[in-house]
Amino acid sequence: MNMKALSLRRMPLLVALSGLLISLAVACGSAEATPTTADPSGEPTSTADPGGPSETATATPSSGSDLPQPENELGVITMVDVTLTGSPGSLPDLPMFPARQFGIGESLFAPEGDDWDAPMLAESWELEDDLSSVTITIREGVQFHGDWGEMTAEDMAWVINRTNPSINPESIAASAANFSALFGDTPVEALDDYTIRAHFDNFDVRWASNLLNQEATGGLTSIATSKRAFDEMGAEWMRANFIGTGPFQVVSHIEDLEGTYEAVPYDHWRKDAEITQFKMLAVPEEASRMAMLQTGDADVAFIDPKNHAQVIDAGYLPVSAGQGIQQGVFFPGNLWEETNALTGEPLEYGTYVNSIPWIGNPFDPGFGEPPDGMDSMERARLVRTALAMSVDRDAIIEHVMGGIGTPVHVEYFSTQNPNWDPQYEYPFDEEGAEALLDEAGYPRGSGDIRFEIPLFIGPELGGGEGPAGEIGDAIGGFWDNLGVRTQVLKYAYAVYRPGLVGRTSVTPLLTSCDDGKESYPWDWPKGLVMTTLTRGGFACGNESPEILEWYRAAASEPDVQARIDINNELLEYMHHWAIAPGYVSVPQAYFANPNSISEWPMHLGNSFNSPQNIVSARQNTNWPVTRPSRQLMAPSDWRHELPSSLGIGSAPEG
Amino acid sequence: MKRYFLRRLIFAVITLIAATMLVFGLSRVAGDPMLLYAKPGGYGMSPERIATLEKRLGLDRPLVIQYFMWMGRLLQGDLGNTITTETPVATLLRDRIPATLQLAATSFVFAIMLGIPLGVLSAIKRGTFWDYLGRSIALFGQAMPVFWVGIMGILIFAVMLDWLPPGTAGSRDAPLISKLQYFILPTVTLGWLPAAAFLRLTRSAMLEVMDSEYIKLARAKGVSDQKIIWKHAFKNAILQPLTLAAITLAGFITGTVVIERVFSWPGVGQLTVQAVWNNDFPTLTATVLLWTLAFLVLNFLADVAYAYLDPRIRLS
Repeated sequence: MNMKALSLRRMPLLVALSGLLISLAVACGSAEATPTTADPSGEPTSTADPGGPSETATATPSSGSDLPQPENELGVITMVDVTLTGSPGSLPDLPMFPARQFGIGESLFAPEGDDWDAPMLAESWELEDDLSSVTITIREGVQFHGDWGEMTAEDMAWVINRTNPSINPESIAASAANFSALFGDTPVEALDDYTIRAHFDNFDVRWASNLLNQEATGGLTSIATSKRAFDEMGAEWMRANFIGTGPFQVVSHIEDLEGTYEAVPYDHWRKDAEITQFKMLAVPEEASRMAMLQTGDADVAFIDPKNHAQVIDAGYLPVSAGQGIQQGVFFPGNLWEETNALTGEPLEYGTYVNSIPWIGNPFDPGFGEPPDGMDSMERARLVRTALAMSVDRDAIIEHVMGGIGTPVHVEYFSTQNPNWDPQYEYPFDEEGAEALLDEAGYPRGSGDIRFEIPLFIGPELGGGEGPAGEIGDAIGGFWDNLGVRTQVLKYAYAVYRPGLVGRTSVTPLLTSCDDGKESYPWDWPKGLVMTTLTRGGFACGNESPEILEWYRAAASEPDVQARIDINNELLEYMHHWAIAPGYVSVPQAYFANPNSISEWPMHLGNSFNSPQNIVSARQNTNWPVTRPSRQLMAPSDWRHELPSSLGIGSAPEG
Repeated sequence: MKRYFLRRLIFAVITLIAATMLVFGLSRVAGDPMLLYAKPGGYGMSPERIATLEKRLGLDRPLVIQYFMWMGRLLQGDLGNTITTETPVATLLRDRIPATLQLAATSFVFAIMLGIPLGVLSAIKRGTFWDYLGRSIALFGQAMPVFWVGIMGILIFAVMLDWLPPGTAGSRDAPLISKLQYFILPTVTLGWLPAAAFLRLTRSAMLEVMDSEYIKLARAKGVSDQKIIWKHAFKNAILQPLTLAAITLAGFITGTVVIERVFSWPGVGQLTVQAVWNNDFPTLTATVLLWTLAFLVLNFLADVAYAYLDPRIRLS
């Protein structure tokens, strides 16, 4: 800068110039943001296909007159969510991004209506009467994205084997060890081009409804990808490129940032997308997501429950796969099994060094010097029950969650399920809770404090920063009222988690712990992560021989009603021991701009799915859609061959 | 002068090595890294699988050997893979660094363009409207937390006025000129506080210089105001803001964590936050090292600039 050229009188001008530059930039950018109109050629699209997935998440749009007009081009939908985690490619031994939710990846089975194990890439299957193996016929004519040809049995067998760490020790796919438990080290075989056979090492009735399903817990599934692509391009290439079979294919995907996915340029075997492009942005800040929805920069956004009332009042359209996440408190350190269920070896514990009020020691009844006539286990049970009784669940729903949500009393068991028995509710009774703590030998002491307790906020629902954090604060407040001084911990889950994996943590945890999903059927085996079966991996921090027994019984029980009976016993046990009292269930809801989206039917499952079903609210006669025809398959065409005597695969009650 | 530079350079290298040791050591303090590989839900890892992974990742070797192995790979540009998805960290950084640098650069320019002229103006026009304006900007800039400024900026300029986009850096494929609108809110939010610092520093330095004897002499000799301000006063007063500038730029590079989160800016800051949440120590160590390096380089440049501008430094 030539200093001589400047004069004192010009100084204000220099400041003004800075402002002008900003204004220019605004003007420059605004021009770019003007929505463009797509090529008017091409034929109009039809409305949603009646043969598509079940309508579990549709709603009538409110008037969108006061809401923003979408910024996107016609046919393009932008969604904002908190994160976009996972590997961008389709290498089966890595935890993939949720391609199954984005309509990119497809599994053997998927929920449909009330049926959790409707066939998707599978066409039919035959289960051996002794439950030792299953032969699955896969669908013919399913094309991989790009030029990778038709999906065959060899691809599907390779995917499952590559995921299974008993066969591929390098696999770190999410919940990969479930495949290890289910199939052992026996590879899935391709019998011919369209038939695979899998041998069960430990049969689990959820093999189709969950483990090989589009909505599998923990993200593990059997998403089909091309073995030929792997053979020709190698593992490194597959890490970065997703070769799926769904109605959308990946244009670009950057982990934790953004992804662009476009409708496949051919007739999809299952459903042609109603939109041309689906974009996903990771926007961790709630205020920013709200702003993007309000300005039309986003067509659909994940919104915290506390803001649901606001966006509903404004006229935004709720869309969801219907999954409520239960939030309950688990009490790590209650390790009650004597031997490792996997190896049979005796276990040693480090959690019984000091007496902790919420931890019972079954191996030393006098541990912690409980009051006369009471052992350590009973004493801790009274404490946990008091903590369960002291919380006004309705108040949390009303004041923290904006009136949206349902109460939960025992984790894994929905109070909205027809099988729920109100006798297992923990009444809101602060006096009763105080009496239990007095009885347990924890009277109010100095400063009216009985004892101190930490409460770690688990990773779901945004962790400590999201609604879970506020629910944890509320629970901590109720516990404080009891004289139990609560420290709510909101640091990174990844720092807390090693204590759960290593079975060393004694800090209570607010979580759903995998199975605490409102929509999960009552009869599904529950409590795997409360046993030593998951040693070497994640657990809720507690281990119980009784839960192990019920879990194993339910997992291998083919009869639905028998499994319901087993889980009713589990419910009674979990209620009695208050080992995982639930508090509230939080709906996972997304909200769409009704000026962008008029309808988004989804199948039952986690958060959202099936963007191919999005029906645009905008005039779509100008879309650049050039597909010649559609051949859509109605669910009635899906053959569903099950050994009816087993009852597996039929929709369980609730 | 050469000895001065050499001394600063050696100090920077020692600091960098110490930083690598600290970063590597802290990454292991968090606990057994193998536990991080146990994925969510379901059955756990078998001892055989743990052994396989340990061997592949070199975690079966003594810690000192692991450090040297890590350093060896680092020098070859191999920053390792993320724990969550085994994506090469170098790839992630390559994707993220441009966005952070772009935001740092625009914020730096904004801070300089706003802070220094207003600081001079405020000093020259002491007690006038311009002085009060400058001091108000400084006061608000230093008093208001950046996340609040960011959110308020989104609320007012994006939601209420609909002038600017509420977040993100726009489409990655779009030309930079068309993405300017996305820069404005994050730039102002990030640059306001340093602009205030520049303003205050420039103002106080100018006031001090303007009160010095040689300025009085120049005035007595009848030198024009312009010449006094720009040739004699400003040149001497700029010394402090200039040395602050290098550190400020480093601060922009490392200090974008909050801004990137609020505006969903696709930079290193957001990557780091995600790595913290995932306890992804390969990514964390890489980003911390990157920041350490940025600080050291810019600090070194500040030392050089300082020595160049102030003979007392280079001659001492």
